[in-house]
Amino acid sequence: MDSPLKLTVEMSRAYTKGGLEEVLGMCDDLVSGQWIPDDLSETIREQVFNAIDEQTFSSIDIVTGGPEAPATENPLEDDGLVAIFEQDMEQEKGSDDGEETSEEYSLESETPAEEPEEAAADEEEVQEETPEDTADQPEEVPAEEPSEESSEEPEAVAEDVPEEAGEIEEVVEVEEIETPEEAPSELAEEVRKDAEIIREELEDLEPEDYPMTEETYYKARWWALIPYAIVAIPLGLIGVVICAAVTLAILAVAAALVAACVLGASLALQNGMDVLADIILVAGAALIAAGLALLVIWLAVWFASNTIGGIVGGLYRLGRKWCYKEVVEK
Amino acid sequence: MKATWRIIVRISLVLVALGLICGLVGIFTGGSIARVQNALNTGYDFNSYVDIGKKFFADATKTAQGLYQQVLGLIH
Repeated sequence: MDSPLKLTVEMSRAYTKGGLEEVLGMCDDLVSGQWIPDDLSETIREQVFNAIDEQTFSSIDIVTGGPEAPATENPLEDDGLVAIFEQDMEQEKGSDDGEETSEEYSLESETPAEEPEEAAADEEEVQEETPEDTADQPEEVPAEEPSEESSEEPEAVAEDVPEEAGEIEEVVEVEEIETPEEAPSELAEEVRKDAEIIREELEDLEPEDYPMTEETYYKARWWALIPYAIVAIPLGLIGVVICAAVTLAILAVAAALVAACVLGASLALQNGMDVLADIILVAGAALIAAGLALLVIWLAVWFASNTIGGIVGGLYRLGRKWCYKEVVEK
Repeated sequence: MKATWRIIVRISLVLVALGLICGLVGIFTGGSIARVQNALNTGYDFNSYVDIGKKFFADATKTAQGLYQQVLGLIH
């Protein structure tokens, strides 16, 4: 597992199975070491550890209603999981546009909250500078990011970061401070919406984008398959021939009706009947023939597809059930 | 399949209804089935068509009977 996307796919599957609480429990188990994917690389694990920090744990406890949820005085800490989802989305967009960087990704989750007054003062300036500054930063893959930064103290990290990145974080914090009365239920609703967006995007992925953990194939039972073929093929052929004959009979009726329709139309339009009432009468008969012909043609098609297709498909399914054994290989 | 059935049946009903309306209008406006039959007999040799049809179905019946006898012979 050398990509965060595959880990995200695992979490998406967990979300499909058990909803948001299942995913959050998965994150909890992952960070606490109770669940370690077999092929999860060290780099990805470090990234996950960096992304899911104490803020996320407080969000997990709030959403799941855990009894050990710490009472957070700062409402910013409650939005850790939302920020992670937003970072994921932004990073995905950035990989397409080349505007987002992995430094932002790590800094936004690690930089501590600063005073709201300073952030409010810098808000307008940063909003103008952000697109240009972020565009200037080099694009890096998150897997190549050094993991030493995550072990440093928050203050030291704050000193190391560029000013632009700090201002970006301040803008995010100011926006969060403006709505401190957000209830945990609203937070959970936002997280659910983000998870739904991610799940919809993952559903668009091709199956070859992520590996299946189980592989199913069928193993033939030759001692049953040969007698079954000897009996089923002649019986199936007889049934198919009978059904084909009935279908041809229905089609013959349909052809006669079509011929009647064409004959009536040609008689009414070309053959020169003198009386208009007779022409209308013949045209009416042709229309009736056309309606019945359409119905009978569709009846023939429906009969053929149901009977012949049913016989062949039924024999195939029966043969697979009796003569093949399903083997699941992990 | 049900939706297709519905569509086909509706189209057929519309065509049949239109045909019935045309036929009734033709009859009420002085149309005559006898004149139509005369025109058909004049323009087309229906007896030959009927004979061709009869011969076709007789041949098909003979072929089916022959196949049936062959299958029975194979089974026995």
